[in-house]
Amino acid sequence: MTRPDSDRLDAYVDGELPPADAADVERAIREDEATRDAHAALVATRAALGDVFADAIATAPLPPASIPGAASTHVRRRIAWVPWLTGCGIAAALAIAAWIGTSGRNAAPEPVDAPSTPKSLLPRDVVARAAKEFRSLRDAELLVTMESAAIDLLKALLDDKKPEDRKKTRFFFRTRVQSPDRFAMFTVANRRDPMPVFGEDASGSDGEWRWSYDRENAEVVRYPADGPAPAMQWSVKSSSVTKSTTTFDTDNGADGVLRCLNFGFLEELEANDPHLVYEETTGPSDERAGRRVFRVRRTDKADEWVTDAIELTVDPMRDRLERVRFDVRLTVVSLISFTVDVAATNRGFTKRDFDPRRYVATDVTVRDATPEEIEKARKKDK
Amino acid sequence: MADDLARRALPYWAEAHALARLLLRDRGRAYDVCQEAFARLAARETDDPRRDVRPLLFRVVRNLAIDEQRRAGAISLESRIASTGPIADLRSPDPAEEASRREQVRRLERELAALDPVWQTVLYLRDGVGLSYREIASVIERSEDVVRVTLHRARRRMRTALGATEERKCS
Repeated sequence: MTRPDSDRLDAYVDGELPPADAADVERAIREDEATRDAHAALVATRAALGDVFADAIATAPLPPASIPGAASTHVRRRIAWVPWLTGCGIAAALAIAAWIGTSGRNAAPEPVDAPSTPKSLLPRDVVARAAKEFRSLRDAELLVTMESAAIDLLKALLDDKKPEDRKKTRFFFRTRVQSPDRFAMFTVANRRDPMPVFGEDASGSDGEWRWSYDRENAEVVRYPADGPAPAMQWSVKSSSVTKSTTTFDTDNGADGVLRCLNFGFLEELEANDPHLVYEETTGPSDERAGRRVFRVRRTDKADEWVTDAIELTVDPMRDRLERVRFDVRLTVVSLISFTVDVAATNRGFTKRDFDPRRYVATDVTVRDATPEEIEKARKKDK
Repeated sequence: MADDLARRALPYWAEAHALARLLLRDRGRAYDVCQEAFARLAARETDDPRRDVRPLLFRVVRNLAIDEQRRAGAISLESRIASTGPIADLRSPDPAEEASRREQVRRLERELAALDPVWQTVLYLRDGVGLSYREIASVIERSEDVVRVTLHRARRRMRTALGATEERKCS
């Protein structure tokens, strides 16, 4: 047996060797430890480089509409950003959203100053198709950005004891969801960050267990996911909140995340509700990036909406909803703005992606709830 | 038929943009270069409709990126390294392992930024896009032997960078 030189090994892993030569290299890999090690190192290098390049490809902007076929051709692109909220922070945001939603719904809509862009499809139809596609997502990653200029007011309302968050006005939460019963939510430092911020909020369910990070005790407590308890539930404790419980309904896939914000509007968009008014607000930069932006307002039953207007960004090439944005108002003042971005779809998550150990620091204890704790939780659910 | 080449190349827009960005280290300029590349493809007549359009697309993008670099002046090594792009979304079940992999990606990106543009192009076209040696040779307008040697040297350098990460991890 001849030990292959390293550029021959390169050609082997690249599939550039004739079959007879490739068989020689394969034999050397089987029989010679040094060759085996060199081969393993080469494969690892290629995989690491592949990851770096894949990220660059995934974050490429959409092609301009001026390219022939750009308006109708499917472009291979993975959207690389997504937002959302977790644990206490999410509960807080939801509480505020629900509370403000009942008090600020009569606020006047913002004027739409961008001109509508005439396209072959009516805005109503474009949005309905995108909403339908979004509602069908069963395996997706979303990024929720919550921004508030009035964060001190929010903190005071919530009696939040996290002094380190006082100066923050923007929070990012990444959510991974896989129907029927898996999800994970965790705080991230910025839009690009795929990693949780250890010590911040994290919660989830791997189908067998639902879990939540307890920051005060630095531990994760797991509860059985079966039985009366839903996959995830936040109790919003405020006398002003009419909807006191918000359930993360993983059966609904990505739509479950939006529904979690008391925001079951996609169904209405899909159904072409006649009480909804659609305006296209696509600006020049959106046009350049091949996106269309729509503002949808409702003219009746305003109390069923968290706010009275929603902005939707659609990739018309794929009928894909890329972003949903809305403000929660206190009269005319925007108190919180939520932006939900579709970061990725069909990620092919495995159970491992919903393991709490992925989302907490190594020194955090992960333990199962005691029978007493489970019983207490069941009573609370009821 | 005019426009046909651009239409056929459209599915590779993202790959083309990533190549331009790798060479220019600037997202906006990469976008402009890609737009120009597609405009040029749109103006060309199709030769063989069954032929893979990617080598041609990447060659046009690469040449335009080099022209753009020359117009803007040489980019210093420091600025290339400083403007290295975002880290990849690498997932791992273990936080410690995840942190280690992030460090590995950053190191790779720094090493990539310091490489000669031809080395960068060859590595990207092989390990990022999966072109054959022959196709890469047509993109960089050199022989297949040059591709093979360049690829080998570039990977060896990357492997050294990865090795350094492993050593730090062990220590």
